[in-house]
Amino acid sequence: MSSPDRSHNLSPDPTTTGFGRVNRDILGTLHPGRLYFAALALCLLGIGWGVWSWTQQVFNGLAVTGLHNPVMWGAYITTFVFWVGIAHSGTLISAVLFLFRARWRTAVSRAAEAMTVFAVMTAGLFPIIHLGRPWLFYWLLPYPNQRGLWVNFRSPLLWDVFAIGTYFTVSVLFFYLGLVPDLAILRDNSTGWKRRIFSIVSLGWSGSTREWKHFNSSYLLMAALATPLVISVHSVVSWDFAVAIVPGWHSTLFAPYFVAGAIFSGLAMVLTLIIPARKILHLEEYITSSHLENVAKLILFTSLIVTYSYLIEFFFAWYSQNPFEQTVFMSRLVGDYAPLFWLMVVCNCLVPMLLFIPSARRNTALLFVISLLINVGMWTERFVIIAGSLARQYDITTWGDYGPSWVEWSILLGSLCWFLFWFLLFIRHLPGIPIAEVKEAMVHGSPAMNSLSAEGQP
Amino acid sequence: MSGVLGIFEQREDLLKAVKEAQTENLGPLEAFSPALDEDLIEAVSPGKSPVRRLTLLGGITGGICGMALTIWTTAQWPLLITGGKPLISIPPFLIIAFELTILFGALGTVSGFLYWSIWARHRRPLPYDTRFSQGHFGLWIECPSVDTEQVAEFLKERGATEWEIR
Repeated sequence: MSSPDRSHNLSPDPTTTGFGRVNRDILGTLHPGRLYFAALALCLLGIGWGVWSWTQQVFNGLAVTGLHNPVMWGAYITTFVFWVGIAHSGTLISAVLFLFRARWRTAVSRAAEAMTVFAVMTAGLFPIIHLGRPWLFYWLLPYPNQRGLWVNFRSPLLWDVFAIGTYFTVSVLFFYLGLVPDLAILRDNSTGWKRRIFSIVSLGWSGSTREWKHFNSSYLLMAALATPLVISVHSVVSWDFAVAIVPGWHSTLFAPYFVAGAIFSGLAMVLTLIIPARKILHLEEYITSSHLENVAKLILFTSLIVTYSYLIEFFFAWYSQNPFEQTVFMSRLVGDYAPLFWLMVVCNCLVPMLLFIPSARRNTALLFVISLLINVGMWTERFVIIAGSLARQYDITTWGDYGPSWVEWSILLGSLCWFLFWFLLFIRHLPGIPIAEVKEAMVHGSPAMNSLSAEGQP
Repeated sequence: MSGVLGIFEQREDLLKAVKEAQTENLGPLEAFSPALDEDLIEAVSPGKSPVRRLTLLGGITGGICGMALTIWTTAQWPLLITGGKPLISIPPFLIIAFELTILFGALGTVSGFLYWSIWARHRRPLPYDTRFSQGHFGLWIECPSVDTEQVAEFLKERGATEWEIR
């Protein structure tokens, strides 16, 4: 290439200012230290323990769990709903906030999108684990067979298959689409076999204007499709319960109540993952405390919706004058499941109130603790709704008690490790912050990236 | 296909060069940028992307498939345990149709992106410099080989720090 007067107009050192610095900082996170490998090994150990526990169940049947009449849905279904809920924040941050032009989302969007994909992958395991004969899971799919059988589309469990299947596919496509320009950056910054792999997965992206034009349009359309999808998915999950006539489940409130709860728990999980990640990967300049504060405000908002739903559920029970409904809700307040109910109230309603205080929203350590408590609280909420309602349905002679067995706890632990394992692989191999979007924010002089754009071009 | 590829360090220089190249009618052009830049898109390739047509087509196909799948399979295997509801129950079937509308719409969108963004470039390859993904901007002007020196001079005058004649 001819460069007669290349010296003029060059930045002093392209890696220390502007776009070059963004590349260097974010790509620099892809070389973590020993702590990373220790965490990865720990996760693998947890997954191994979970798989071993599951084999106990496969060989011995569901008797190794605490499930028995009348509580046939317990920790597995609770955990399924929990992980589907966790998935929701990723779509909220990447799609809904994108449509609302909330530019601050850039800093956390990639991690949240990845979280969505991994959470759905984790959630999808649980209906299969819950099956007595998991090897027959494909009976849920409508495929032509020699018996001439078809699935029952009037069953909410079938709606789940379609909703979760669509959600997983769309989340993966959305995540991958947003990743393409960054994969091209990785391609151009790597050598050897890594370069070959990144060349294939970046689809030969060159950053031409026409590519950006179709990319922009596709991203916007995917966001517009993902937004109603995310609302439909947790609505469908809530209908697994709401269309049954079990007291404590049979309520039209369930769909919005579950969607708000899902976003609430998902946002808490975003903080749980991002706060340590930004510290370890030195990304404080990109994920600033004002980004965390914005997530905290959303958590506070959704916490208020969830609190309102808890209250209105009790109002429904009282107003219905249905003794079975009232018994279930009284048992939550003062019965055997009351400790769990009050734990969820403290974690989901009272603790998030601290976020009304501005200094609490800016205190990273406190935010981390609050996010952990919300994770615990939201798992407990689903447990109280699912197992608590089944255990106290109708006549006292049909009541029963349920507590998860060691197998169920082990599989829950294994699922957490499985989720973290994928997340760790993600932050090791792909940029945790969308580099191209950070550069776009710099082009537009967005306040979200002020500290960076002030230093360099453009 | 001959032409000149100019490399720019400043976005403003590139935007100016694009506008002037269009005014002087130097030839078909394509710009490269490290980030999405709507001003640049508007200057080089105005108008709406056709991807949305495939999204619509996918969505409509998905909705029809969802209704067809549910109604047809229910008619094939008429389970009469419907609790007094009609065998073909539209409300639950709409849920399946909705999910498939979104699924096919998304698949249509991604297909559109792959076709117009990726496949179109493979059919008509343009020069590329790895600095475009880092922080530099590029402008490719297609022109007859006799005009390349003149176009290169044009790019140099507009602030291109390097250029390559092809």
